[in-house]
Amino acid sequence: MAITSLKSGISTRSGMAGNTLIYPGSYESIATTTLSSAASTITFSSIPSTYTHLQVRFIGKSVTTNGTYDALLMRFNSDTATNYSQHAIIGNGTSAVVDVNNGVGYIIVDPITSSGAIANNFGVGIIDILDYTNTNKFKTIKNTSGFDNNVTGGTNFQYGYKTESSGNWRSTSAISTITFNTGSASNFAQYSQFALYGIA
Amino acid sequence: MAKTYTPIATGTMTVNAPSITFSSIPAGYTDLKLIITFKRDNAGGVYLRFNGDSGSNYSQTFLEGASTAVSTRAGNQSFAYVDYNGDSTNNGMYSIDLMNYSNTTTFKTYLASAGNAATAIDKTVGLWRSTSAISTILVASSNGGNYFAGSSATLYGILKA
Repeated sequence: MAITSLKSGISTRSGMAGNTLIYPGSYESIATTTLSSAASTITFSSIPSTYTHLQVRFIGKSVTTNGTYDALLMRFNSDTATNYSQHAIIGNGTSAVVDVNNGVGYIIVDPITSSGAIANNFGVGIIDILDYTNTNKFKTIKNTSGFDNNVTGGTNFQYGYKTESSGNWRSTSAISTITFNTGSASNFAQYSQFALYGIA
Repeated sequence: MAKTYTPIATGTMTVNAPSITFSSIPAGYTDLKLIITFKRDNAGGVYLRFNGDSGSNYSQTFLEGASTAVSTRAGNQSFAYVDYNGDSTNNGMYSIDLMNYSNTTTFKTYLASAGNAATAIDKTVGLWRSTSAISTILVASSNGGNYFAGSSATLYGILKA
């Protein structure tokens, strides 16, 4: 069965089995950073407070050559204090593990690839930041991310890395700035791209 | 702000069939999202092929929860495999994000979430080792079975600022 007709023209659409998944008109692009050269930090600032949730969709690579991957660190409103925590379940192709970090100065959003991975291979992820302007509760994120390295690697190298995680920022402040760095403090590689969306 | 998250095409099977193909996918978006509900005549996964490439250019890392156990595995083959699908009595559900599908400088990576309420939930990250922009996606049964009439797939485009 081939589909050749494109663009339904329907403004709202049920996404799955009769359940209304999203209304496309309520999902808006806010800003995008695409690196034309390596850089140490990616920042979204002056984020408008007019949405209910935020979503970050990224492809990322670190220039470190230590292994096949690097951690991606996320902070809100430039807060570097130990106000963050996260739980993650991770599968690397050979073992499934749970990773927990409490009282740290960032949310770890594993993983992105490094220069030790196969060429042209970037880690990808989708981060949902829920109720980001609500000043009555702490902020919670959920993340799905990973990379695959074609079953190549070795000691201290990962064949692949599939992560599902949640994170918490213990602040009631509305989020107006999001900052990303690598866990190794290395630069993000050229062509890394982070796109921020708002969901009304 | 630019509104984005646009339905590109939907296919709903009116008769039992082995595959659905999205062709002539426009290159004007940043990411694609594919939502699938399938019921089928035998158990197994779904595979995707991009641009008709049947070479050994695909690999995946899986994270699965089934019954009381969690597991992981990796593989490579001539198609983009996505666990886990429905069988003759249970719908399989898929949500697949194809990141930077039209980028011609990087390989293509997708994230998939799939489940069959009776058996398992699966999370997959997969790689297609090609820098070509994706213009065609074949969605097919991994072991030659048919999908039942009523199975459907919808492709969305997401555009960055």
